[in-house]
Amino acid sequence: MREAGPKIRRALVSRFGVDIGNELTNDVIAYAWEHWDSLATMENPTGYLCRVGQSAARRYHRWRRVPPLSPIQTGLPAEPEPELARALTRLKPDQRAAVVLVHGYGWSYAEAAAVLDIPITTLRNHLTRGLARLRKQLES
Amino acid sequence: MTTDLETRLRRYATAQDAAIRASLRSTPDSMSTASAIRIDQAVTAPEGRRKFAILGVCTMLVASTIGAIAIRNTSHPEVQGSPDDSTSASPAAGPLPSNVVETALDNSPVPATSDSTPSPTQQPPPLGEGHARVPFTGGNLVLGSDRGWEMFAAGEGSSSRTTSLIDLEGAPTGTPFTNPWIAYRRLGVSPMEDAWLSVASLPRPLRQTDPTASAPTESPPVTAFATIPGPPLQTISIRGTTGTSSEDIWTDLQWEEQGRTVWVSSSLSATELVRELESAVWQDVVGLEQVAGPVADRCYRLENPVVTHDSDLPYFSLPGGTDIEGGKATTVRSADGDAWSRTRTYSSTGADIRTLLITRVDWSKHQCYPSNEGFDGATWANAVAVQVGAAPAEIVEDPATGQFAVRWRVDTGVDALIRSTGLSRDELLTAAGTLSSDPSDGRSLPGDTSAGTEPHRLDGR
Repeated sequence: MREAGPKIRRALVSRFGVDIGNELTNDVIAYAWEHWDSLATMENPTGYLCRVGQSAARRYHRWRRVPPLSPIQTGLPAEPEPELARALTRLKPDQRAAVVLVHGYGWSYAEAAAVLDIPITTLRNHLTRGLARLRKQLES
Repeated sequence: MTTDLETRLRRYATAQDAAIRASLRSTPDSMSTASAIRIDQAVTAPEGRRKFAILGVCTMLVASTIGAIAIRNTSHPEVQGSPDDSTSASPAAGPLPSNVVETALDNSPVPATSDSTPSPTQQPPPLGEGHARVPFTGGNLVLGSDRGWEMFAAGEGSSSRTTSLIDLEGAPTGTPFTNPWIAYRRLGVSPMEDAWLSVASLPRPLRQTDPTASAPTESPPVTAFATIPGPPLQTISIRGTTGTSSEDIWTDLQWEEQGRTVWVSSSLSATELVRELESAVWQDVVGLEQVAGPVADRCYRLENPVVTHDSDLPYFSLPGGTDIEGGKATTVRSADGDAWSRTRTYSSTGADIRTLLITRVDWSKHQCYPSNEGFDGATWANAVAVQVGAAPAEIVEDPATGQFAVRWRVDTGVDALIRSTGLSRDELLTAAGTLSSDPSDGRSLPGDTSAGTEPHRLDGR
């Protein structure tokens, strides 16, 4: 968890914003405690736990269409990249997480795919679409 | 990727890390309420102290890497959930919605942990413990809730617990359940609210809706409504599953492989369904097609949903079968050996397993058979139905369409599985692998004896 915790937190915050992401990470830690034994046998417990966090996020989203995160909602300061923050919030969550983790934090494809528990090909897809959309948002 | 954009993204990431640190610093109690409660439970469990110690160490390690330690003292009075807690909710919780009746009835102590969910066979707790009797005599009871609320409803014959939607149907025999009652609790907002509310907070009014009216497009915060009688409103389900809560569709669709065709039964219109799917943080719901269905619900086909695996859900396959590959997934193959589909088995009840195994085969596209076996579809479906304890299974072919349907009589849950597999209950539970033994989470093997006959079509139509 020492290694996985910060990764999961970054992934969930990138996807859901600071407030919800932090809360989900705490849920994930609790889940890890509850399922300690089974997690130890998994090939990719980090990715599994990240999925647990994503699933837990459903309670924040169900029954209403969730507007794009605003920089205020993410808890991010308006500076130093207010335009980028706004553009990122308009990406789809998968794309936003992929872009921020790979190009923001500099994770490798393999590392990001493992934490997000998706195939590398899917990650590439999210990156390609996300970056294209991001550029379009920034240009406009 | 331009250097400029990459540089900006790195600055953004740095700012995000700073925001995380700031958030943790500003909320020293930021260990979530649910976590705190669960930890609180843990220290009371026999092996809990050891695990709690491990969790505490892990939490500190995690927190120390980002400059904040946010472990909460579970002995804090807030966590104990005193009856007066609801009056001292944290600002984050906010007031109860305006359409919620808040009635302080008495100050009976309230259970403070998630394990406090009462058994439906128990008498409802006295008024004042976050429940209220419902003026409801039968049919379906549907409750909707906004985020953060967990509801538990029960009556003689049925019970349900969910964070989003409760759909209580009458008992399988058709006898309406009686003495229904509802309990609410709000999750993850503040420690005291993670206990059952100490006030009755039944939304007002509990209204009887016109079954023919269109479903409201969005549920306002904490809305309750009953449909007597008639089909439930705003209920989405994968057709054939025994559950009808919206949980099913989220769960099931998230389990599907990308590119698979998914069949969905829903009382929602196509527009509403797409909105629901997209609001569940999935994207790119394309190819939604409404088709005529043999059941009252509308039937949809989702082509190529871009969905993700949801690995926190358990799946397993029953042992002893020769037609289904053991392990985590059953792989079926098209007759030409080209297109592959995967049928995952999961869920809490034998009925669910049976149904999912059958309905997830896309018979409209593939004539599927298990790997290395040359069964035709009907034989395979029959074998599956028998294997999971649904007997007798009757395969019916629609001459007009050439599609298959299967009917069976649900025997007696686990008992049927025991009979059909020859395994003991313990062995079945062992075979369930990662399934929780906690019946309250809906993943354990059932002990119910529900019976009934349900039609299901193999092609999902």
